[in-house]
Amino acid sequence: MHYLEKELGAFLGQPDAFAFLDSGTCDGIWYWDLEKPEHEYMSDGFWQALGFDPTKRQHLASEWQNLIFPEDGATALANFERHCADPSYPYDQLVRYKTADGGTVTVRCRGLAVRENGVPIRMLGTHTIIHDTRAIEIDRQISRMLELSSDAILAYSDSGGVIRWNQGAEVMYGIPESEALGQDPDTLTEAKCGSSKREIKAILDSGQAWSGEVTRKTRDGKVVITSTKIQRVEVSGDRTLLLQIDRDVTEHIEAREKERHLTRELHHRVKNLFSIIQGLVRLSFRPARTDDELADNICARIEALGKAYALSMEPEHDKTVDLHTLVRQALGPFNRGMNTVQIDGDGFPIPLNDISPLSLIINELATNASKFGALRTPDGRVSVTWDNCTDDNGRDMIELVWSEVNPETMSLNEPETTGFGTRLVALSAKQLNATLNQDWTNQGLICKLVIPFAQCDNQNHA
Amino acid sequence: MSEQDGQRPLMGKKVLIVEDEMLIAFDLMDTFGDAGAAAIGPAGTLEQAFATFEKDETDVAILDIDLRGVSVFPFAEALVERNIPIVFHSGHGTLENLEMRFPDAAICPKPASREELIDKVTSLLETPD
Repeated sequence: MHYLEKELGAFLGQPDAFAFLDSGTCDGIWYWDLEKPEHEYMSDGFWQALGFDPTKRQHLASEWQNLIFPEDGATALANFERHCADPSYPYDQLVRYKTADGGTVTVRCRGLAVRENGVPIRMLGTHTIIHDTRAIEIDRQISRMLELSSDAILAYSDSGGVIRWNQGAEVMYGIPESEALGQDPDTLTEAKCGSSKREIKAILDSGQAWSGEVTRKTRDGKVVITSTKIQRVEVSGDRTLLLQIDRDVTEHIEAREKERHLTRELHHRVKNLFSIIQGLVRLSFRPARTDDELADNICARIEALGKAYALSMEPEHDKTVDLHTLVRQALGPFNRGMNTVQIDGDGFPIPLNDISPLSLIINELATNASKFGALRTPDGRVSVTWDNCTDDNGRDMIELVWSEVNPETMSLNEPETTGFGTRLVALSAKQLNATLNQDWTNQGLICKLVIPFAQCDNQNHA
Repeated sequence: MSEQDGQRPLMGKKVLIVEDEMLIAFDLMDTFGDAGAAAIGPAGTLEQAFATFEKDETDVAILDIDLRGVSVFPFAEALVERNIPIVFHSGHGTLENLEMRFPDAAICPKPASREELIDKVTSLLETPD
């Protein structure tokens, strides 16, 4: 009798060996001498299952090593090494063998290292032939799909670290599987999380899945925020593995932050607008007028501000508003049809910051025209035209000309030049960094406003 | 307006106004003018603020934080160095780091009443430094 067969008989007397054999309905038993690894006992059933005559085979490891598919042999070898190093890591995989008649058989090959003082000296294994290969094919497909996923999918044990690290994880963290194996995934990705490790472990140990946001780092230091889900699963017996899926939500989080920023910005603008209205109302009281007139003036100005604000809030006006749109809207309330208001000029982008002062200027000019100037007469007209020009220093400017035409040449009231309206035009022009020239003619007002166009380009408001 | 009936609490004080919205700026000029102060400015940009500050003596400064997208903080730091008290008058009233960066500054969130502004300035000027 072969010495290993004899020794195996004695070993099978131990309860855990019996239990092991009992759990596997097997197509062969093997028993390997790890101290002299060329020697391996293979049962008769082992060879019969592969279609060979047991009496013609030797008890040498090279016998099966010549028959196993090389890539499966490599997987088995890797698992063998891990199992030797870590008893909680199962030696359990599907491998393909060439049969005696030249066919292929898929075998589930499981094994258990026999240790002496913790050092593996023997390995007992079983073979189970898998007759229905469809399930294996589905497993292979799922496995391939997991590889293709852009989520990071990993499996690891508490003591042994990562055993599976898909391509998604390699891409997401810039860490190849070969370097991730055996490592603690949280250490590897410098994970930071709102929940402590102990809290997470308590949830996982209770059998529930844990999910939450985790901030991690890639190999080259880039921050990745992941929506992570972890579940503890039983692998065999009381051995467990942790399965983890990380989805990269960095962009979503950044979008959320951007939205918060925009909301803050909006609050700021609204508060600013209230403050402007406050100033507008208080300044309108100087000099004091009749209540009705005061109320009308203030309301018209708030309306102009409100419209300018609405214009700046339209989503298509990301950073600028077209000058044409702005002028047309500001003059809307004064347009009585019949070419009362003529607007002519190329499109120019006006920065959002300049909308309010420009709208207020046009509102004041139009208000004055309807009180004292051309718009006071039935046939009076206003034309607003603009063109680009350069100033003395060669900077790009927009020259906007407001001119009133009054065909009746009827007596026009001399406009007031000390009221708040005049001051408002001057203040707004100052805010635009514009030069203002006003000329009162018997036709009405001719007003020339030269606005720097350069400030449209270096507009750096967030 | 109560401050017009009462005393002019800021008589002779020089108040620098830094604000890019001219309507707000001139309302502030009037507000402090009515309270007896000499209102200086308004400066609508960071450069104008530095230029006005170099030119004119200043007892206290009212600062808008966001000047057409440019932060007023560099100017505020220059004021702190010269021990000039600051009132931030801004819609950004909840900026977390404002109180940390400028612990001695007063904050007046927009929209603020005239009384609030004058009270803040008056108490800043009363505090011995």
